[in-house]
Amino acid sequence: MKPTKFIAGVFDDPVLLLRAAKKAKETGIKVYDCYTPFAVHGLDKHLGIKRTRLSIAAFLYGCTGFVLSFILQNYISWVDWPINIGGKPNTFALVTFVPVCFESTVLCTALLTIFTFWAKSRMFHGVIPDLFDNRQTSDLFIMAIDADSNKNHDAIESMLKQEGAIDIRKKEFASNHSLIQ
Amino acid sequence: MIESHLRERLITGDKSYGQISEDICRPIENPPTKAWWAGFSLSFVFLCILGLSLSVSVGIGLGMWGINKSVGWAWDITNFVFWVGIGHAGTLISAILLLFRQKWRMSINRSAEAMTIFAVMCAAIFPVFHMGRVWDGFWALPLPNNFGSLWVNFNSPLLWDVFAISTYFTVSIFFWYMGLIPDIATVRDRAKTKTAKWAYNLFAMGWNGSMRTWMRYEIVCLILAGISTPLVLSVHTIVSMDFATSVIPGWHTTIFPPYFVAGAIFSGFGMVLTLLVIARKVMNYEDYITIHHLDAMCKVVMLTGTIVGCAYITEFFVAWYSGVEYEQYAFKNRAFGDYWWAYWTMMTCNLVAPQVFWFKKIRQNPTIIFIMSIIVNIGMWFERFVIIVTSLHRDYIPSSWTYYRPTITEIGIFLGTFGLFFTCYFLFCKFLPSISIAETKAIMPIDQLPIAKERMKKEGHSHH
Repeated sequence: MKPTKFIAGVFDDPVLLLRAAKKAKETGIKVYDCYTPFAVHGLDKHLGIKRTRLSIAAFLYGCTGFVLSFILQNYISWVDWPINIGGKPNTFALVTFVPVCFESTVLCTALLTIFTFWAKSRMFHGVIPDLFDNRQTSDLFIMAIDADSNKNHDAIESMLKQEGAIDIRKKEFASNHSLIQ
Repeated sequence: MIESHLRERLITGDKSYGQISEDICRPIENPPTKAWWAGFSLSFVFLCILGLSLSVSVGIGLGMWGINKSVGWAWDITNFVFWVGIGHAGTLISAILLLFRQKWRMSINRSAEAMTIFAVMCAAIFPVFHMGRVWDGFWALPLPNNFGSLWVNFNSPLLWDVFAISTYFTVSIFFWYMGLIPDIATVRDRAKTKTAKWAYNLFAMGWNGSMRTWMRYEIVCLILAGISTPLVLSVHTIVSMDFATSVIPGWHTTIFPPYFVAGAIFSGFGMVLTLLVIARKVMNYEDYITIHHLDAMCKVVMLTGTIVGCAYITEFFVAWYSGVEYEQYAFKNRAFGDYWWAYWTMMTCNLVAPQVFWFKKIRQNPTIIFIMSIIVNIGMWFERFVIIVTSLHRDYIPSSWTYYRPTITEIGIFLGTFGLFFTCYFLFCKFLPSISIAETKAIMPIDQLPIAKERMKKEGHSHH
């Protein structure tokens, strides 16, 4: 399999990165992704990143947790082995089931949402990341452009330079690189 | 662009992005200082005391504790509620202040969340060992079985507590770890040795700062904050229901849930202040945890302390107004009975002492803040002691009246949990970034960075 090639603009200022992303959008250069030390707000619009549907998933996970624990509690205290404790009704005792239902809802939402996020972002323990620069998690801002699907390399480079990139790098990663979206 | 100067700057010292990584990673990348070794060793000694005391409690039995037939819950449950309460400030800072968009939380949330996790670990020790036969602890889970009572009782708040505390612990750990991932990646990419690179790489999960991941990450953190907020309220509400649903005078009151939650936030902020006043000095984080951060936390302490004090007075009023003689006796006994000293310690530390924070000079004096934070911790420990022991030691039947004293084993366990807490905290400070690197960078005013000034000079125009 042939390696994947990227042209990367290295910036040291998020404002310049934002401007470059806007310019790329205007001139029809397709940006693969940006790599930044923190979430640069506004960049997602220029890159055309759609809002994640994780919040819908989270809601569904919460519903699952709620329903499962509701069924479990009713099965245990009503169907399988009803126990009369202090004369209090244990059958379909909705009010006393509220706390445990709530905790299960929260637990399912939290864990399953996080696991979905990791799976969707291809995050696993010990994955060795493909980095453009060791400082991209500290103080450098990278704009990565796919060199294969964008043919006009000269125009890309001059755009990056004009927008204030401190360096332009050509990087090759193995075809199964960790940046696959 | 107009820059508002209504608030003091959150991070002082004109830091660049690189400088922030440098400052926060310094304790991780350098060998530990003498102060660290001294603190860690002392904590470790106390951790050993914990191991010893617990071995005695399990090996010989709960007869080694001072509990008796009237006071069946004493130091153990006092310490349980004390530690759970301390844990709550972490979630409050990380979740509720995130939803309220309080940016000053960024410098303190990481260590407060770590504190939550360690405090809940300490808390869990008490109910588990109070069961006596620790190895049968899993009976508290709803497992299909053919021994003892067949299923758990979902009518009991004690069972709700099992679910609440374990959910709270799990969610707190995951929330904390989620926040750590980008920062672990920062440490990974700065690491010099092979071992460090390997270890941080294992936990960084391949984080590369991709914009798509960042966008999802922020939504996930928001969802976690959204569900942690009712979670933290539910946990202490359920803890209070352990007492409120019983028919013991002094416990059987509807005011307990909000009163316990306010108390938890109060004591938790007390502990956060104790830790941070020291940490900012020892770890050179004074530019990140500024005097204004301490000021803001002091205001929270004062507010919640006053709420708690208000609850104490309301309880007295309700006891008188209800006309129930047992209830009235319980409260008279609290203030003027055998444990009067515990009651007035609580009143002084929790209601009277925090009122000094009305003065700005005091809110900005680290020495006084540190002393105050210790007073708050003592006061909140006594609050739980007063609620639990004074209510139990005077039963409905005068023949069961008794006096409770802790034994050396119980004192050992309590002091030992401080050993566990601080051992974990020292290890955390050494191996993980104790201030959120990514979030701190994100709140830097973008036009006041050194890099921005350079850019503006180049472009030949200035704002304002």
